[in-house]
Amino acid sequence: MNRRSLENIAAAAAILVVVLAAFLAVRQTHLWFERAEVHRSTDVAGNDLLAQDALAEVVALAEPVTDILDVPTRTNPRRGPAQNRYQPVVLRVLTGINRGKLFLANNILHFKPSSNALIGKGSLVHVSVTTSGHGVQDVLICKPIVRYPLLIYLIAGLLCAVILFMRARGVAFAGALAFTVLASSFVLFPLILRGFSPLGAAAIYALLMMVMLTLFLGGAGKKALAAILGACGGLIVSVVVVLAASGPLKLSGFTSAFSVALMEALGGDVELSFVRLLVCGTVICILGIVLDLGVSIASAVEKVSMENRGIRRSAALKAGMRMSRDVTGTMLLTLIFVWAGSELHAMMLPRGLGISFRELLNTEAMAVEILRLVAGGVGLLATGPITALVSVAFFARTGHSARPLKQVKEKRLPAWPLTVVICVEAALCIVCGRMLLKTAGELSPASGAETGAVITPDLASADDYYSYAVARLKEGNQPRAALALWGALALDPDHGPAHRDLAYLFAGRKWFPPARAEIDQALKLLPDDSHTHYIAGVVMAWQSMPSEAERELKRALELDPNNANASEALRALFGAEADGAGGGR
Amino acid sequence: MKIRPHALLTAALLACAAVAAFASDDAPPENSAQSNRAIRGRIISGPLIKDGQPFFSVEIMEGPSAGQTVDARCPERYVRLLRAGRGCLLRAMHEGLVIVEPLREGAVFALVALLAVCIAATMGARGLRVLASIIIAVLLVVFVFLPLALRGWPPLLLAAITGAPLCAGGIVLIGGWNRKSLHAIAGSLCALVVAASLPAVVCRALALTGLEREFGMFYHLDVPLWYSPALAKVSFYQLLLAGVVVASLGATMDVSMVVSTAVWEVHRSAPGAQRGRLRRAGLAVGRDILGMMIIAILLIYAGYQFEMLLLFHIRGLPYAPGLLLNYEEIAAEVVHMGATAIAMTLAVPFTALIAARFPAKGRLHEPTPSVEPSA
Repeated sequence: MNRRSLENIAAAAAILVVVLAAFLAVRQTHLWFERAEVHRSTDVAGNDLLAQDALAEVVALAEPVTDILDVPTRTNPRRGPAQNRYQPVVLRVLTGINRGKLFLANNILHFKPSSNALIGKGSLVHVSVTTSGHGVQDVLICKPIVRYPLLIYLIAGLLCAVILFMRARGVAFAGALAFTVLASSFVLFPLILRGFSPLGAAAIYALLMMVMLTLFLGGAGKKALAAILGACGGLIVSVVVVLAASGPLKLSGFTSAFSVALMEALGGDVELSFVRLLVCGTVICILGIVLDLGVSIASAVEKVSMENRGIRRSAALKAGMRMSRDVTGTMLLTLIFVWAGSELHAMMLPRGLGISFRELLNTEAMAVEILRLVAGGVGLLATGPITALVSVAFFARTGHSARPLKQVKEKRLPAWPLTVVICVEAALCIVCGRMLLKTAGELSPASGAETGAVITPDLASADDYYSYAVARLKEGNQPRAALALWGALALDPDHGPAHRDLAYLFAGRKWFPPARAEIDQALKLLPDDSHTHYIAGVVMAWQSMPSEAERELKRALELDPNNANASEALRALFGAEADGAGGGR
Repeated sequence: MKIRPHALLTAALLACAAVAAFASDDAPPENSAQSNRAIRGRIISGPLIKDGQPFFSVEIMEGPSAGQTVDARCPERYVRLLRAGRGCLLRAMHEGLVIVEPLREGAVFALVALLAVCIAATMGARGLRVLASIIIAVLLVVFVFLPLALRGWPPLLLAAITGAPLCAGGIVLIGGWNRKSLHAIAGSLCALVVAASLPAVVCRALALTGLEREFGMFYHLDVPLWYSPALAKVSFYQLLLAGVVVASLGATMDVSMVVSTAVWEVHRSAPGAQRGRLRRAGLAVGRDILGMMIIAILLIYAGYQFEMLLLFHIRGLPYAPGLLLNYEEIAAEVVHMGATAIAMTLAVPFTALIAARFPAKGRLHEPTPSVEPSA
């Protein structure tokens, strides 16, 4: 059997292992549902309730239903239109104590995109089923939607493709990847969670990873040692940068929602723990890339020293440094572009929040992101020279080079195509820069009538915007309705119905302070409008202000005794008293 | 030293863009009466406790009230970090002026300057080219991508418009204007086209929205982004895909450059080599470096999202690990990593094929030690 056949067999075996691992990962998650804990409780009537998470399949479904006039009730005064759009579905439970049973459930559709995912026939959903001796009490479809089977199989497919392409090297890659995942799950995270210092945990993890990765992918020997030492130098430099910069950056640890939750989970001194975790993240971030750079430079210096026996150390160092300059540039760009691609959505924040780029730059989150990037970059830049120095000490001997090293230059291409491209880019930058300046005034949430223009240019007056908003509300498209209402108010700040409907929308999203401000404005502008008083009553009820709610609803009925909504809300909220109020009108 | 025309033009471009950047920064909206942007202040004294809340005496440094001294409430987390003489950002809230952030811009600029100095110091003239490509990247994103995305242009198209010159510019600035760089550019662009189209299908199948991302104190960015009228025209789903393209750019360029250089080296050492041999040499080098590069990319993502991963590890323990993949934050990162890995893998055969089909016509000097970029 020749070497190529062996390589193919090894690659096929690695692919088989990946497919099996993917299958097991999906199966393991299914098994978790199968063995999910059954929560026991009792309801107000004393019936035993059993609740269990389960995996279910959609067997039938209906079109989404919009129920926008979902009035608050006495038992739950805050129940509002946030949960008024849903898709009725029939589910067959696949796991647990309810396996094989059919249930009817509602896929609740909020107006944010992630909660608005429509379910298709055959979709898998994560449900929480609560049953009692008398039948089903509640079936809740959990969000987020089930993504793991598709994602796991996609990862496996990708790995198989890479292994197939890399053949024998693919096997080593699969081993290194498995080791990386296992080392993170069973060494790094458990060490930190058991109270080990994140700095120490990062150092142990980094050393372990570097040794194993060079063994798997770079080979053992002096070259690997030089690469590891160089990479360690780079990592130490980046750690020093993080520790030195954390003070001037005035980091409190309240950088992100995740970091706050993490600090609470870990306990201890928030600020101290945070900086140490930041160091740990930075080390992991550049670990692979500095090792890659270290291996490249150590290989280059070794090769130069082998081909030029007796080469001067200074000449070998120059070759190593030249190699470092060649490779570090693109690696640095790799680091920066990965960062930029991940943070592209954050670039929209100044427009979304109506703040300046400067304010974004001063936020702790952005400062930490930049610190991580800069520390990683500086560590990467330091790795090249350190590895070159170590490699020269390992491989080059003192002596005189027989052949001086020369750099080969390639023939240059004509410069005019590049000049044309740069001119076009410059023009594009200038035109778009001017557009940005214009946009800054136009698209600010606080700026005037143009706010509405982002919806549709056909709308001319505040009433047009209001009609558009009412139509969107009937469709259940509340974000667009809110935009149109804002557009109407931009054209006519005293448009009472727009204030009123905006108050209703805000209250539905539990944004009570702005809802209160809007309804107060609406009441000033439309003091004798029954519908406005009805909405005011609903807003007050959602805010748990029953006396004010009752007063407003009664006022609505005084102004229009035929206001069925107000009458029904009054009856639902205040029962018999409402009937008394109704009798008096 | 001979000054080349494109170097002059690049300098002119940078100067224009720098002027535009300074002109546009913090330009107040027309209707400034309604705007409530943060203003700069300087701590005079404090903290004082009023009604159980910490206040600092702050001198306002800009705007119509510049020079006035006021009392501003300070969030408790910043009390220990602020003292007299330090800068801060203030905003008017309904309860009065509030310190929103300590002023960090000086330290941030110093950090960026440190990176620039390190690049120039360790990489010499080549470092200046790297700096130029970083600045061009920033300018293209800020002055081309953002304004057009805000106007409703599809972010994926914009990623193509800005990504192609970024890729070409980066490779040319670092590798020089020669045929070797052209091969790398062509290989990278081919790989990026596929890398952008595959996630477009995958993200749709996974029902990713592009909004369930965290930043700062926002668990999910849908609160400030999706509900904002100013961003009504932005397609956040496509913004996710654009992020994938941008994130893949650097790694793809790196792999393409290595493969293109390897083919050129083989062609230089054996000018009569057949295309098959050149292609095989490129593929072999690509296979050598790919494993380490993919793991390096995986670790970069893991490092950037370290806190999230650790938190999910803690919170995820009662659940099956597979269930964590249901969360869009994790799923989107996996798609990013996967797309970058695909782009890097595809860059190898594309670049090897192109470089072997159109071998470089270098003027060959005497043989020199072959310095290959990887083990």
